[in-house]
Amino acid sequence: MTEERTRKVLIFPARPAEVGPVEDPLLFLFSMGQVADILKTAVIHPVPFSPPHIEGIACWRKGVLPVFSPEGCLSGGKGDDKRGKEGQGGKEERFVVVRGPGGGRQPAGAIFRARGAVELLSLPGGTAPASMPRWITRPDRVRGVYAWGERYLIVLDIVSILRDNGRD
Amino acid sequence: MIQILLFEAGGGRFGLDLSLVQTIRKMEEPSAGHPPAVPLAGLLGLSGGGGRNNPDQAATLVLSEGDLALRVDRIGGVATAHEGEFSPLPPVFGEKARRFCPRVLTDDAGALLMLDPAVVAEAAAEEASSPGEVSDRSPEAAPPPADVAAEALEARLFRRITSEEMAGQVEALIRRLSQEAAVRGVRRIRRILKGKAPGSGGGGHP
Repeated sequence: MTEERTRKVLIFPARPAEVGPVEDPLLFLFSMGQVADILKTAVIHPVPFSPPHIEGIACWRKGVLPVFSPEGCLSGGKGDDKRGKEGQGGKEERFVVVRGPGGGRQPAGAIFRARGAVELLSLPGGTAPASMPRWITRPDRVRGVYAWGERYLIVLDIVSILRDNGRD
Repeated sequence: MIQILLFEAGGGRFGLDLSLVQTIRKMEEPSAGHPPAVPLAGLLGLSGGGGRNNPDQAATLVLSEGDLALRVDRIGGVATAHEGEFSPLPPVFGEKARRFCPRVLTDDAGALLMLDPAVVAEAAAEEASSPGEVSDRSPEAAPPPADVAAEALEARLFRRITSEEMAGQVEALIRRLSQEAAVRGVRRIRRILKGKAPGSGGGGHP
């Protein structure tokens, strides 16, 4: 992992169903060190008895990864009404493949559905820790929330999300 | 090398060891000699399914000498796979999901979940037994007291047969028969799997 790579981050808007339409003041942030791939489409297969925030499984590089709604991870809900359907929603929708904490073998990571435009940018400066938005009912799945100008950056706790073992 | 029957239910793709499938029949075909089909989608808690979305493609899989029948939305064909091609369902899905679908296979169409037939049969038996147990606890279904006169008992039985309860009684009987058949199915599937187990990798059957 190069230093330049660690300084790059990927952001996309958080659109929790609980909040409704907003001017994208909430963004999810992943470091590029975490991101393994960005997919335009993904065929998602529902899995019986999954918690609402897991949309199913999808294939990636001959392996199988769970597909999460990032908003659902934090609200305990499913995030939107696309659960279990083929991931070809909006024009800007993407699927962000994130490396798991263990590295190479399974659990290899996860796929997060990005419902808005994905942007790659340098690590934002001028951020400050912020309080947790009220719609987040699972703060244990968050590593941090940061104010960035008029926007808020949410950093997910991938380890916590992946070790939940089927709990909502 | 394992032959796998591919099918869909409730929007999900599933697979079963083909050697455990005795018959595949169209959903509307008469089921003489076979137990009532259990909708797999409902059993797995998936939203679609039961053949309601596209009845023309719906089918019933009769497993293990006809003791367990599953209703699915569509048959997808047969595939072959080596033991090494399966991967475990990611642990994030929780114990219940991993009991029903311990393994995943990928193919050109994506991923499919391999069902554990013994666990499915157990769930089908529970599904069949639960409503029956409730009806058995109702005052109407309680056994008559020992001192009831024969005439009174006859009158009670006659009233039941001629009343609206008849449909309920028949339904409860079918449920009970289905439950017994499913329990026999679980035993037979276990016996079959036990016979296949040495050197085959097992697949995590209980």
